Amino acid sequence: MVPAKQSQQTATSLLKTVVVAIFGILLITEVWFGYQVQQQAEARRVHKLAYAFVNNVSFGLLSVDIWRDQVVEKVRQEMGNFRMTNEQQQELRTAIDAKLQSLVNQTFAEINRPKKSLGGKLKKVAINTLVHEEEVTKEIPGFSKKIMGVLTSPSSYKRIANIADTTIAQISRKIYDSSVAATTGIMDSIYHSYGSSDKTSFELRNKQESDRLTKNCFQYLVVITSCAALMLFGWIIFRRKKNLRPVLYVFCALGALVLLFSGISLPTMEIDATLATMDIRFLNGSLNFRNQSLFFQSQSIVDVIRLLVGSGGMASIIVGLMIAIFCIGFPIIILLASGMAVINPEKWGQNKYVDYLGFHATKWNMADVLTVAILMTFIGFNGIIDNTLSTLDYAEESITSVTSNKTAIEPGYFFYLAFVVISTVLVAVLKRTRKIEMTEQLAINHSETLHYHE
Amino acid sequence: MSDKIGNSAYSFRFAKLLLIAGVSIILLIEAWCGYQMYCLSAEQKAHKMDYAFVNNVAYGLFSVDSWRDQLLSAAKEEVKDFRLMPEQDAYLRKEINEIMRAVVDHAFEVINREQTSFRGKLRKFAVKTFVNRGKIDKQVPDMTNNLMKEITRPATYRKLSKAADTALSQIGKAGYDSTVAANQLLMDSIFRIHDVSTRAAFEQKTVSRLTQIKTETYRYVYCILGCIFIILLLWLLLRNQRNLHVSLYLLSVASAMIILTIGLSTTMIEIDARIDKMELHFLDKTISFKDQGLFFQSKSIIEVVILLLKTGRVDSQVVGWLILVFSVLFPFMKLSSTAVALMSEDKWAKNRFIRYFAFESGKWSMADVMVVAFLMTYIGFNGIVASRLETLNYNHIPITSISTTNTMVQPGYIIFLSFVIYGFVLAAILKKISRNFTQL
Repeated sequence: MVPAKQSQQTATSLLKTVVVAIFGILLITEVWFGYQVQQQAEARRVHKLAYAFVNNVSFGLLSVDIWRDQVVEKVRQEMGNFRMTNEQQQELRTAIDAKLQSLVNQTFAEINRPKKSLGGKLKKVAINTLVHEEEVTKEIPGFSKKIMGVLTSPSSYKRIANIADTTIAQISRKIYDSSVAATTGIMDSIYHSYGSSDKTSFELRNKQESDRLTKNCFQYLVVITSCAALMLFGWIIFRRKKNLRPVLYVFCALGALVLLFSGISLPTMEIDATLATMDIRFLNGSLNFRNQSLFFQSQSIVDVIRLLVGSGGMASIIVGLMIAIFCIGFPIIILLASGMAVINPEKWGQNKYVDYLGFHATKWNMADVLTVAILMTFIGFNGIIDNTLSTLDYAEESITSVTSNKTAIEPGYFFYLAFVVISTVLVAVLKRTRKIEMTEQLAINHSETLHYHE
Repeated sequence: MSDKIGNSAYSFRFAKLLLIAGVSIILLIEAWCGYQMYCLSAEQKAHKMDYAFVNNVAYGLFSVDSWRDQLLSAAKEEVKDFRLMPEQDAYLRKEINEIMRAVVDHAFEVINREQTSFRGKLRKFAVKTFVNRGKIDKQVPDMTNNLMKEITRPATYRKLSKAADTALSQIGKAGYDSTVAANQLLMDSIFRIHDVSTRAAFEQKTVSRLTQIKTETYRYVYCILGCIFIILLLWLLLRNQRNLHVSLYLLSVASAMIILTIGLSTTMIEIDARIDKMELHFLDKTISFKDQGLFFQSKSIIEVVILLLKTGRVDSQVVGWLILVFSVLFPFMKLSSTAVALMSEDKWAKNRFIRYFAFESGKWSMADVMVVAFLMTYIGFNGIVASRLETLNYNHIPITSISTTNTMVQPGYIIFLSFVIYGFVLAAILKKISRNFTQL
C-alpha cells in the first residue's frame, strides 16, 4: 500500500515537473519571440516610413523640380528630333523667294535711279548692258534652293537644336522649387543610411528588408500565438489538478500578457494610398509619375492613446484615457484578480473585490469592443479610401492614372485579438471550474452532514 | 396619526411634483440647446462647404487659368530681357556664314555656267576680269558680322520681344476668357449669397462667422453638460429619498434620450485635407499658392451610417449596420429596457435579455467612440513629411505637402461621448436602486 502510494506520488510529481517544464519552455519561447517581434516590427516600421517619405507625393507630383526636369527632357528630345515637314519647307522656300525677289527689285531700283555723276551714269549703262532684271529673277529659285539646302542639312539642324537647347537650359535654371536645396540633402542622407546613392537602389534594398521583416513578423505571430494556445490547451486539460492549477494559470496569464503587450505596441492597421502610375500626354511622349505615396499611416494602440491624450482636446483626452483604462487596464486587472483567486483560494478567492474584478467585471472589459472597433475602422477606411481614390483614376487620352489602396490589418491587431480570445477562454474556463467545484463541495458537505446525522 | 400620514403623503406628492417640474424644465433647456446646436452645426457645415468650394484646388493650384496669368507675365518679362548668349551667338554666326558661303558659291556657279548669248559671255569675262573670288570669300565673315550686328541691335530685340509679347498674349485667349468668366460667375453667385463682393471679404466674413458659431456651439455644449451635472447632483442629494427614485430615473432616461438624439444628429467629425502652401520660382518670379482644399467632409453619425449603407459594398454596409446597432439600437433598447425593468420590478428584471441590455450593452456604444478616435488619429495626425522634417530640424522649408491637420472632432462627438458615460453612470445607479427595491 505504502510503496504503491509512494510511486503514485513520484509519478505525480514527475508529471508535474514535466508539465511545468513544458510550460516554462513554451513561455520562454513566447517571450523570446515576443522580444524579437518587437524589434523587427519597429525596424519594419522605420523602413516603411522611409519608403513612404521618399516616395511622398510632395517630392514627386507636387514638386516643381520633377515637373521641370521631365518637361525639359521631353522638349530637348523634341528639339533634337526636329525636322521641317515638306509643307514647312515649302513655306520657308516661298518666303525666301519673296525676300530675294524684293532684294533684286530694290537693287535694280537703286541702279536705275537717275544718276547725276558721270561715273554713276557709266555704271548704270554697264550693268544694264551686262545684266537684265529678268535674267536675275530667273535665278532666284536656284538661290533659294541652295539656301534651303544649307538650312535643312543635318549640321544646320544640330546648330538650331543647340541654340534652342541652351535657351531651354537657361530658362530651366530659373524655374525651381523653393525647397530644392533642403530636399536634396534629406534624400541623400536617407539613401546614404541604406548604403545607396540613388533612389532605385534605395527602393530595392528598402523593399527587400521590409518584405523580409513582414514575413518574419507574421511567422513570429504564428509561433507566439501557437505557444499561448498550447498553454491554454494544457491548462484546460489539467484544470482539475489542484496542485498544478496555480502555476499553470500563472504561466498562461503571463503568456496572454505577452500577446497583449505585443498587441498594443505593434501597428494594428496600415493605411497606404498611392498613385501607382500617372501619365500625362506631353508633346509626342508623356510625363510619367510612378509610385506617388499620397497617404501613409501605421499606428499601434499605444500610439493612438498617446496621440489622443496629447492632442489637447477634452473629448480626445477622455477617450484616450478610456481606451487605456478599459482596453488595457481592465484586461490586466481581470487576469491579475483571477490569478490571485487561483493562487490563494482561501484568502483571496473569498475576497469580494477580487471575485468581482476577476469574474464579474466583463462589463468594464472593453477589449472585445476595441477589436470590433478596429475592424470597423479598417473596413470604413478602406471604403473611404477606395471611394476617394476612384476619383483620381483617369483613363483619358490626355491623362491616365492608376491608384492603389494597400490598406491592411497588421500583426498588432492579430496579437490583440489572440489575447482577447485566449484571456477570455482562460478566465471563463476558470470561472466554470470554480463553479463546478463549489457545487461539488456543497454536495460533499451536504452528504457529510447527512452522514453525520445518520 | 392619520392626519400625519395624510400630511406626509401630501408633502411627498408635492415633492414629487416639484421634482418632475424642475427636471422637466432642465429637459426643456436640454432639448432647446440641442436644437440650437443642430441649427448651428448645419450652418457651420454650409459655411465650411462654401469656403472649401471657393478654396478648392480645382480653382487654384490645379486650374490652368490661375497659372496662366502668372506664367505669362513671367514669360513676358523674360522675353523683354532676352539676349543671345555667347555660345548661341556663335552658333547663329556659323549658320549665317554657311548661308552666305552657299549664296556666293551659287552666284559664281551661275556666272561660270556655259554661256550661249553674247551678253552672257561678256558678263562672264567682265566678272572674271574685275571680281576676285578669293577677295569675296574673305569678305563673307565681314558681311556676317554686319548682319549679326544688325540682329543684336537693341531695336531688333525690342521688335522681337514685342512680337513675342503679342504672340504670348494670344495664347489660348478665347478659351481662357470663357472659362474665367464662367468661374467668376460661379464665385460671384456664392459671394452674393454671403452678401459680399470680393473673395477677401468672403473669406474674412466666413472665418469670423465660423469662430462665432464655434463659441456659440460650445456654449450650448457646456449648457447640456451642465444639465447632466445637475441631474447627477439631484441623484446625490436624493439618494436616500427612495420614493422619488423611480420618477427621477425615468426623467434621467428621458434626458439621456434627448442627449443621444443630439449626439447622433449634430456634426461629429470633420475631415479636411489640403495643400498648405506651394511655392516655386519661375523665371525670376515667385509663384505661390496657399490653402488649396483637396477634400472636405463634415458628418454626423447618422450621415456616416447613410454614407456607408449607400456605398454598395457589402463590407461597408455591414459596418454601417454595426454603427447603427451600437449607436442607435443598443442605446435606445438599453434605456427603454431599464425603464421597463424599473417599472415592473419582478416580472422583467429577471429576464436575461433585459438584464443584458440594461447593464452590459452600454460598453458597445464605446465602439463608435473608438472608431471616431481611430479615424481622428489616423487622419488628423498624418504628418509624415512634416514630422520627419521636424525631427531633422528642417521645419521651415516650404515643402509642398498634403496636410490633414485641420481634421477635427466636433461638438457632436463630445455630446455622444457624454451620453455614453452618462449611460454608464445611469446603469450603475439603476443597479443600486433596483437592489434597494429588491431589499424592500
